[in-house]
Amino acid sequence: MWTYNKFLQYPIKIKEKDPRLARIIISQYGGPDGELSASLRYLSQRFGMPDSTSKAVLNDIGTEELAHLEIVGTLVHQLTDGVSIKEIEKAGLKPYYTDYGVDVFPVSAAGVPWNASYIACKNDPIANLQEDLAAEQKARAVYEKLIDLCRDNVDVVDVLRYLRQREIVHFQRFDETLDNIHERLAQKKIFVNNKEFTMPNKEIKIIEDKD
Amino acid sequence: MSNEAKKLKEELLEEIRACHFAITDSSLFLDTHPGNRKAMRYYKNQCEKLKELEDKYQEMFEPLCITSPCNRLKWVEGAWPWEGSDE
Repeated sequence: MWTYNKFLQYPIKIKEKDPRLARIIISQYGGPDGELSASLRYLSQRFGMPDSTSKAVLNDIGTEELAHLEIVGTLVHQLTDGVSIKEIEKAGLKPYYTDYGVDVFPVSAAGVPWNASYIACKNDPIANLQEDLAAEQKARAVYEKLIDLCRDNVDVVDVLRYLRQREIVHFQRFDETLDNIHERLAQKKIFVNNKEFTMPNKEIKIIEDKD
Repeated sequence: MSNEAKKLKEELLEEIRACHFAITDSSLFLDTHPGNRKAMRYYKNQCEKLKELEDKYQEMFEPLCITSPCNRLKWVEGAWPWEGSDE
């Protein structure tokens, strides 16, 4: 379960509202590589993981991603809150405004609503962790595009740089988790097939070599 | 609230945020490095520090979490984090 802390993981006070930036930043809220995808990917995958390290890593990173979802939502909110209709029109936000006003709705920069097909759960620790490593790199790449596009707004860039940095740390932790699983698989002198290793509710069998 | 109190509130919240982040980051590190004693000491120190800071903040200003014996009115009426206001 979760309890809410009434503060942001990273402080945000945007001095210059700019709905043009909100229009692209929203992709990290509800786009394919955004924070909603990240949190649901990890929090869903954790149920089927075979060992305590991978369960902990997925649980804890999944939880941090929820804090990042709030950060991105806050950016979008503060960039659009109270702006005039003219500014909304000028920013190309007429279609978004028609459906959602200035609420924060999970869509990509291209306007595609969030979809569960952005994430994968394969009930296979290697497939899942490879997906997670790729997801962190894709999210980093998106933040770098956003930093380029938002370069004139220092308050926004500061927050985007923070989020980009967290993707790198998460990648590192997932990489260590995957190494750990590879090591455990390599320990077995008698080959245990991947299916048995990944069967839910089964302890990993490590068969010692008696020689 | 006086300007002085506002400043103190802001500073204290900033310390809480930093401390909370230190715990998040070091506990992630400890997930994959369970035997690292230096990280473990750092993590424990930050946890103790956070408790002190949060107790102080919540006693002086307003609840940060509903699990603290909180002033319900302040929970509802205090500014929400995404608003970025100076309240």
